[in-house]
Amino acid sequence: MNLEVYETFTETHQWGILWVEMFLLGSALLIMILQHLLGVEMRKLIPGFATMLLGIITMIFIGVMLYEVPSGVWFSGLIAGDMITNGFRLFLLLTSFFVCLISMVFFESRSIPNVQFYAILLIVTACMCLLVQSNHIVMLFVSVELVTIGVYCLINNNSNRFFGFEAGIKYFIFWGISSTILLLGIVLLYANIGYQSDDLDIINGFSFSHINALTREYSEMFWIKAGALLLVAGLFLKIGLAPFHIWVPDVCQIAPTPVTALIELSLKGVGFALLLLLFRPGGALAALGEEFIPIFSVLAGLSILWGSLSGLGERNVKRLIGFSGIAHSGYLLLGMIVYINEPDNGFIISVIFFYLFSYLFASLAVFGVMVHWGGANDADQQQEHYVNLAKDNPFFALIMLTGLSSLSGIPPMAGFIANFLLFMVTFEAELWGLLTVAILGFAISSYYYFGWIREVFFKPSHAYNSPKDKKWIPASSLFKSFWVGIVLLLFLLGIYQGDWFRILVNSQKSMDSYESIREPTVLISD
Amino acid sequence: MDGAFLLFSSIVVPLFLGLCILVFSKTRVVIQQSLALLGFSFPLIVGIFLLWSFQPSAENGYDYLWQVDLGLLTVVGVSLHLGLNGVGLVLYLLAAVVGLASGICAVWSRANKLAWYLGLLLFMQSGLLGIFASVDLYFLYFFHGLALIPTFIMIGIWGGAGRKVAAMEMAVYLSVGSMLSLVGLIALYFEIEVRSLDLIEIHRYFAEHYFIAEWRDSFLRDNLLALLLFGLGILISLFPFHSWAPRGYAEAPCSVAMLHAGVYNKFGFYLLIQVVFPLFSDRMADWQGVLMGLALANIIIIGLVALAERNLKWLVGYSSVMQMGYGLLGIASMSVLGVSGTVLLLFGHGLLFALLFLLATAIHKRCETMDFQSLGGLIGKMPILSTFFIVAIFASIGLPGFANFWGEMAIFFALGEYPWILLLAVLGMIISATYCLRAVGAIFYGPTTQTLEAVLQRKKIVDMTLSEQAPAVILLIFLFLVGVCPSLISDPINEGVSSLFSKLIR
Repeated sequence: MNLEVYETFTETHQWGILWVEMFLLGSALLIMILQHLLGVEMRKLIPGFATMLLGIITMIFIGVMLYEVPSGVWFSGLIAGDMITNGFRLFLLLTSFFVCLISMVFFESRSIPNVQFYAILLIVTACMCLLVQSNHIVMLFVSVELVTIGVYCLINNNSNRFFGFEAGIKYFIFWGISSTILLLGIVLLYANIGYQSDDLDIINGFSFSHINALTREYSEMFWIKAGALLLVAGLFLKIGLAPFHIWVPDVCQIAPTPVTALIELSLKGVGFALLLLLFRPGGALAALGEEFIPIFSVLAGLSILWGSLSGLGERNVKRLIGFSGIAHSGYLLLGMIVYINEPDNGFIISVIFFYLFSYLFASLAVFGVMVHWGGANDADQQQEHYVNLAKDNPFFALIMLTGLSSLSGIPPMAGFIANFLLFMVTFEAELWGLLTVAILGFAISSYYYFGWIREVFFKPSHAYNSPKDKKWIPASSLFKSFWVGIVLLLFLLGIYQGDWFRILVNSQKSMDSYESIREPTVLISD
Repeated sequence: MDGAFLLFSSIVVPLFLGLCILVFSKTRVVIQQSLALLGFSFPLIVGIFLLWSFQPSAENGYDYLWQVDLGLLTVVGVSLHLGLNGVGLVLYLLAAVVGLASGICAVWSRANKLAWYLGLLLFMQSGLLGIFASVDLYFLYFFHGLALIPTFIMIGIWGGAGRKVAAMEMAVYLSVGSMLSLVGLIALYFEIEVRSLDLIEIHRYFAEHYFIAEWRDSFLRDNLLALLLFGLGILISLFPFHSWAPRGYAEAPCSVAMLHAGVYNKFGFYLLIQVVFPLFSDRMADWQGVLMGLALANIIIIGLVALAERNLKWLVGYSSVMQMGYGLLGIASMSVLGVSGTVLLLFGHGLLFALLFLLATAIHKRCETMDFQSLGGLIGKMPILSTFFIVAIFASIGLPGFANFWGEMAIFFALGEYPWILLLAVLGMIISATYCLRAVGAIFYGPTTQTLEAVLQRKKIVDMTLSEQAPAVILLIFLFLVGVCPSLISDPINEGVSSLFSKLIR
């Protein structure tokens, strides 16, 4: 150790880069303190306060993004940022904001004192933001574990105590297994190449750029491939892709609806962010990308078909959303495969982003209706419970229609453009088999989306008695305006995309130029 | 006035007014009705004006072009590009006429939740107009989807007894068919070098590169054509995949059936004529036999099915599907005459079947049944309705004086080279005449059953009301006009089709 090392440390530790995460953690602490200071009546204001804070952060973040997107490597190579990571941060912030919003409705109707929920949600958001910026295996693993524990708490935070416990345990076991697999992969990687760094230091051995350089050199070694494969398998288990999907529908059904939204959207976004970071040029496993394409292809095809087919007979809408999520992760993985095929094509990243964001808004429209319409027993929401929606509340019926048709990917919603462009890039990459599967999946899944729309709009052909405990919550005008905004956004993105597909194409150029920064740097040189 | 601006506004105005009606669904009904009427009549006025001032450019055969980049132009070559060529203009006019007729029908239909019905119908109308006005293939599908969702919901809410099945079947068939053909078009996009989904650009590219050897022999091109024909075949209710159509029409509420049978199912034909026919005309020769066979299957098999049908609405539905076979025969004849005849036939078919569904619904409303066995002797009870119906049946048989006659005649002339096929096609005409006249006999002549008498006694309105006569008259006027003076629309059709062809034969 010498003075130079400290200099490097101080130079790269720019805390300003992590202002979002710090702000979120600070807010979480503030909420926890306020919880003890405020009286019972005042405590009811905390959910609104948390939502407002998240909203403000999101707004400021968008403003900062418009002004300048910081790109570089900080914290001695632990954290990296550029257009892509910041795009994912925005995605996560937006998701958490909306999750906060719908949980306000959800918990208010159940009169459960759930102040911790918001604090934990803010912490989880901060961890996920850290996760998508990680540039180092240890950073990645630590943030993944933090997210796991946080989400476990959120799932158990349920009115339905018994089932909530079951979902939590299921989730915890599966995520525990996936973490083990992830860790095994990391260990294998490190055991085989980490030590080959000249100076045997941990920081370098685990950084993405270092692994990238060494996997390129030793890409033929069996144990390296095995390690990388286990690492990826761990991630897939967390995303819930087809052979690893068993936990998804169960957890989606039993978790409170806002948490379902968080699992379906944020965790998926995080998983794909990590895949993108690992496999993009300069990412840790970039050299192995080509070899993994067959495996990825099988998984993507399997997920699309499995998600579409299993949804066909499903009457519980929360499970249905879970199955639809599996299919959608298959489509996203398809985009990833195309990207690995052609890593220089920034357009594909923008397509993946567009897919994610249109999926986000469409799902939020659906979840927004679900929290208002779910009734007392949240886990028991059958498609049949939606038969009177169009009659009783045409406003929500229209929002449901927009969301579902965007999810199914028929024009004129944003989901159509996402599907269309995804098919287009797949076609260009000449992945005929996967394209066929994707179209098949589209055709099959359109049946259950239309089936749900059918329940919402059509008069029941037989006399239908709605269950006694189903009592929908009227939406306040604030919420109404939010959902109207989402619906308009879905329409608008379906028609007008503006500069969306140009920003990232340009950013790809800047990413290439910043590749040089990512070269392994020797920090400790004695 | 700028034609391009009018074209754009004729698509946006129904959409906007539909939205207004939905937002102000609590206001007085009169306001909603007048807004809806405005939304339906504006496109027709624009359509007639555009027909009158139509001057296609010599370069690409289009007029009223208007293009705006919405964010995808530089990256994938997709933009909102509106414009009309001869074929598009005629079908656009069809959409406008049938739209007004079905709109009038809907405005006074006393449907439950009228505001929603009118709003959704206006959305559908806007989508249908957009289909035929867009030059860009992406937006073609965009407008197709804009029309699909309201159709699905309207069939499901206001439809007949089997509406759930009908709506699901229709939605799944249509979305699968359109997605398959869209993939075919994406394949086409990557096959040509211009990297654009703009029809004008694609046609220009083909005019320049048509005889390049590798393109003509490419393996992909055969499969691509097969994919397009499969997808579009579903959309035009071609023989093995036709089952969604009659059920969808029979269960739909009146206005939706009119727009759907009259206009919406022309989407597949429009793509066949604008894309498949000019771009694949050499390969089409290999498929000619298959296409003609399928078209004849449509005519003969579905004709026989219609012959056995005893329900008026289903009969009209089957008859509509059957006549689609003639349209496909015209395209399969691979000649300018045949394709022009198809467009002419589509125009006549759209007006005629909108009229037939209108009248069939009127009969259903009065007699509360569609079954031939319980109908009969209506000519004495409701003379105006009977007159309209019999005139419509004459048009459907293909008597001169109606638009359908010219379409069928042109197609038959085009089939002159294939005498056996012509013979079978004419046999189909005989089948169609048989079931049509039998239907007239069963419904309007003969004795009236006791139960029907009782039903008619109970109802106060016996003959057609003014709100039902008005759309029928509008449709008949256009049928007559084109029947007497076909050059009104055959001139633009001719110009449009020959400009599609002329690039290929140079």
